[in-house]
Amino acid sequence: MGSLSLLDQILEISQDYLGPAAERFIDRQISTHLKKRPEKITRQDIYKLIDWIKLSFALLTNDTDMVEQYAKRLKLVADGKWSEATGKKWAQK
Amino acid sequence: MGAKVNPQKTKLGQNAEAEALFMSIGEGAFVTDSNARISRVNQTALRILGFSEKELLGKWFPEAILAEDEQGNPLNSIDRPMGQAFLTGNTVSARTYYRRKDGTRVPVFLTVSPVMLDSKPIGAIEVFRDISTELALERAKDEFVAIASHQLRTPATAVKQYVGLLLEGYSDPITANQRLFLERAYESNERQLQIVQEILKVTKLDLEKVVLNLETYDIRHIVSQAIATVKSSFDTNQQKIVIKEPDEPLMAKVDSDQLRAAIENLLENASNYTWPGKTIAVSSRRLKDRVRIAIKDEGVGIEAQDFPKLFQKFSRIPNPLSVEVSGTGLGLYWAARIIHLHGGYIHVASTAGRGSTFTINLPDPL
Repeated sequence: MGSLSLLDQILEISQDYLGPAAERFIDRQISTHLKKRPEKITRQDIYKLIDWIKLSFALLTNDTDMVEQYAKRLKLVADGKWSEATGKKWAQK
Repeated sequence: MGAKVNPQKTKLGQNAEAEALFMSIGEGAFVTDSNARISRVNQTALRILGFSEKELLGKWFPEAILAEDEQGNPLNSIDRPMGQAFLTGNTVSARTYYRRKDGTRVPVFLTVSPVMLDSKPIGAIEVFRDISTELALERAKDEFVAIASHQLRTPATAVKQYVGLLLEGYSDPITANQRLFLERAYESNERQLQIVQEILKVTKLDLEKVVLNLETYDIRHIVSQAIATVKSSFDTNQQKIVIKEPDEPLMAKVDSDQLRAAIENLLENASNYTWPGKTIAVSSRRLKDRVRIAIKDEGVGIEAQDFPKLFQKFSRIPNPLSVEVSGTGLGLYWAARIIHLHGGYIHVASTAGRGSTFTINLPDPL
C-alpha cells in the first residue's frame, strides 16, 4: 500500500464508505474545492478537503461515528501515516 | 473616561443578540452542524413546517426535513441544495418541496450557504419561505394564458383558411395588388398562429402537463434528425455545419421527440445569431457521468450581463443581428425546461462577438 499514490489511498478509503460512488464523489470534491485535477492532490490539500468531505458525507449517513472514522482515516493519509498495516487494521474494525 | 467593559458580558450580549436576530428572521431558518444535525431553528420555520423545536433540534437534517421535487420524488441527500452548497462551497438558491409534520407538502424557495469559521466549513445555514401563494398566482396566470391562446387560435385559423381560399381563386378573380396584400396577410397570420402555438407549448410545460415518454435511444440519431430539420436554415444563411460524434452508439434514456425539438431550437438559435459563411459545430459524447451534446457557433455571442436573461420567458437579448431575427423569446426557456425534465441542464459559454456554445447535459443511467 505504501506504493499507492495519495489519490489511490483516498479512493481506497473512500470506497469503504461510498462504494462505487467513491471515485465520482472524490473527483467532484477535489475539482470544485481545490480547482485541480485529482491526481495532482497533495497532503496539504487533503487537510483542506477533509472538512468538505465530512460535511457532504454527513448528508449521506446518519451514523456520526462513521463520519468521524472516515475523516480520521483521511487525516492519516494527510499526515503520511497511512500504510498497508493501518489499512488492514481499519479493515478488521 | 469611558465605562469599563466586561469582555465576558460583552460576549454574552453578542451571543444573545445573534440568537435574537436569528429567531426574528421573517423567513424560516435552520442551522446545521458538521454532522448535518439541526443545531438551530427559528419560529417561522417551525410555523411553516408544523414541528416543535424539540422535534427538530439535534435531528439529522435529511431525515427530519424531507425534500421532494415537483413530482413528489424524494431528493437524495447529495442532490438537495445543502448537498450542492457543500459540493461547490457556494451559496445555492433553489425551489423545492418540504413535507410538513402532518404529511402535507409545502413549496419553498430556499437559500443555503456553508457556514465558515476561520476558513473552515463547520455546517450550513438555510433560509426558506413558503411560496404556495406565488405558485398559485403563477398557475392562475398560466391557465389564463393557456385559455386565451387557445381562444385566439380558433379565429386565427379561420382567417388563414379564408385568406387561403381567396389566394387559391375560390372567389372572384383578384388583382395583382390584391394578391400581394393577401399574401402579406397570410404570412402575418401564419406568424400569429406560430406565436400562439409556442405560447401554448410553453404553458403546457408550465402547467406540468408534459409527460416524458422515456426510452433508450441512440443520441447520434436524434442529433442527425434535428440537423436535417434545420438544414434549410443553414443553407439559407450559407452556414457550414460540422458534426463530431463517436463511432459507437451513444445510448441514453430520453424522450426522443422532445429532445429533438430542444436540439432543433438550439440549432435554429445558432443559425439565427451567426453571420453567413460561418461554421456551426455539433458534437456529442459520453462523459463519466453524463451524455453531452454541444452546439458551438461563431455568432454574435452574448454579453456576460445578459446571461441571466437567456432562459427567461419572452426575453430578447440585444445583439448586432437582433433586428434581423424575429421570435417570441420562448424557445430557450422551453428547451431548458425540457432538458430539466430529463434531469439534465443546459450550460452556456459565450464571448460577445466571437460566438457561443450551448451544451445539453443529460444524466447517464447506463
